[in-house]
Amino acid sequence: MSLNDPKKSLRLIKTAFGSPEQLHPELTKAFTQSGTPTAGLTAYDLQPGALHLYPVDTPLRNRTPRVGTGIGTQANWKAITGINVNNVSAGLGQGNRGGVMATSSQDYMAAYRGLGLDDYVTFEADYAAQGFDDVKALAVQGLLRSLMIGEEKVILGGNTSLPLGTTPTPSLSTSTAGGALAAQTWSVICAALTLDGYLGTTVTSGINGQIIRTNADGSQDTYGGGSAKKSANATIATTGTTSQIAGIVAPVSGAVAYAWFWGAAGAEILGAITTINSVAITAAASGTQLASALTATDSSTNGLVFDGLLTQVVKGGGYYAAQPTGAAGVGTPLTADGTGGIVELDAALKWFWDYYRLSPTTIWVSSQEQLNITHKVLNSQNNGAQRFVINPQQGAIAGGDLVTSYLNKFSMQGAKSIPILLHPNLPAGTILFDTDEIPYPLSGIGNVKQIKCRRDYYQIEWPLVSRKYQYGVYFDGVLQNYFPPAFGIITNIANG
Amino acid sequence: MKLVAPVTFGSFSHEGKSFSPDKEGFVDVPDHLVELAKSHGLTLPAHLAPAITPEVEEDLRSQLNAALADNKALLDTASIQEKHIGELEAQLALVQQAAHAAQDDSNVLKGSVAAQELRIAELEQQLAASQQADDDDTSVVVEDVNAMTVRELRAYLTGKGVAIPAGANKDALRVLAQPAQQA
Repeated sequence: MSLNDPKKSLRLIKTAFGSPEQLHPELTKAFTQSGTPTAGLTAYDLQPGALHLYPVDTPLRNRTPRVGTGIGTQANWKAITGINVNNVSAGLGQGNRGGVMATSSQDYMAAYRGLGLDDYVTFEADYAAQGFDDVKALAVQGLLRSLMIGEEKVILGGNTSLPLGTTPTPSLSTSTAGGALAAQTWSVICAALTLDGYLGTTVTSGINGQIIRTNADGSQDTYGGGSAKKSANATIATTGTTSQIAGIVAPVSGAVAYAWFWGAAGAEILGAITTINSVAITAAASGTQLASALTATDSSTNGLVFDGLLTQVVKGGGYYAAQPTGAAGVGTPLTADGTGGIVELDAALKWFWDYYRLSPTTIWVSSQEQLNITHKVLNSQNNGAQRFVINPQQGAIAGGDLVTSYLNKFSMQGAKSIPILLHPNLPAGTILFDTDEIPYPLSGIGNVKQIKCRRDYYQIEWPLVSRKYQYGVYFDGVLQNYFPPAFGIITNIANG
Repeated sequence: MKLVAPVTFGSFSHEGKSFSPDKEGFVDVPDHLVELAKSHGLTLPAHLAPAITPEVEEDLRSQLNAALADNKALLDTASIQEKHIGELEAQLALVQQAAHAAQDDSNVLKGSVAAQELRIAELEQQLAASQQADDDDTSVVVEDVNAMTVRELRAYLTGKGVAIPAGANKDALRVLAQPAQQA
């Protein structure tokens, strides 16, 4: 506005009063609710503190005692595994002493491993979250929970000492019906997977070979991602446009899954991950990972962790059974015995009794086996073998059934009920027999298995070297299993 | 060993070696690959039994003996039952014979009964007719005669077969009717 020109000033004032929206339209609007939650003069109804909508299921870790007396580089112990193993007769001749019995013993060791995770919070993230949440506390809390989840996976299936080796070469067959494969010569490659390899992979993301991890401090660690050395390729030709291929590999001890690649020779693509040792290939592979991208080494072991129960069973003489191959792509499911039992579970429990006179205390299963066991028990031809306890209270009967325990027929305590529990990390097709107590007098074993720590969970807030608060949560220990034969697995179980 | 391939079976490969069906649909597979081939869908020919090991032979022998024992028991049971059936059939023949005789007797009796019934029916008809005649005779009393008109008296007397003199009046007709009534 010019003060030197009164006429012009008056004209401008007149204009402003006449139609002020032309000069400052933002000042003249009415107050209406904004179209978006964050625009205009709108309050933001934000509940303080972030919710934690993620599961932290660590049943084995929760049930495993932790002791903190570890020293040195490995836990060592010796065990007497048998007395009078040669079964010398106790009969005495007149005036004679008895025969000399033999005692068997075994040495055990388990090297300590450090497990831990790191995280950081930038100064700006801390500023920005003030009044809403404590992001530094969240970081540490998340680290502890993540470490527990990671530890659970290691307790279940950590593998530091059982290399799966080279996956056997697939055996292939073709059928001219049931699929959508084009006529060509197909090449198929398979890679067996450990629990770690199975849990971390999908057909879309691909499987892990050797992993080189850059850590929070810039250091690097290299470890196996849980896949065996891939097999040699096998080839077979299809005709027509409706062919399918069946692939079979010999079961690999220690493997819980198998990754299958197929395509033209040299261009095999990941197309399926199965929890049985066969696959039905009906269409072109849907993944993106090329078999040629896998390292040509066995990446099944991880030197940074300790052996978990699945590995210890295979290595340590526990009960191990793989279901027969069955029809390719279909496999062999558990077998109902027709009297309310499961043939394979009874075989395992009988083995525990016949060889070690003990009974597992928990049967861990995946959701697949939980469902199939229930179906097989309830679909028994002899339903009189089942006992139902029904609450007669009105409205107390719910739909659906669940077999929550299995009656062990082979126990010194007579019939013994073993709980069947879901494990969040157990793959479909594998069942784990877990034991918490040894029924031997004076065995000297307090805990059949325990986490022996050189240092249990601890948190470090690292010194500031940048404008980041850096945290780490760690522990150092090992799963000490005093009696691996008290554990067992059934694997390669088909769905059905 | 020759295994049977499904109709849609293409081929089967293992460790670089390929196995395809011949013209008759058989695939010749080494013994150590038989189980694997079965997983690929190949089956044993119907006429081929599994390899016989001593254990399998013993098992089969025990199964056979058990089956023979069962069959013998069944045969014994069957022979006993056949003997029993023969006895039952003889008894049945006797019963049927007796039944036929009884049937004949029954027919004779039925004929006699029918004749008797026919006779009874005739007698009943006669009795009914007699009763009807009696009823007709006793159906008209003195008071009725006295109450009849001339026409009714004539009709009544005509029905009884009484000759009516010419020129008979009402009283004469009533007199004529009285004997008939009394008779």
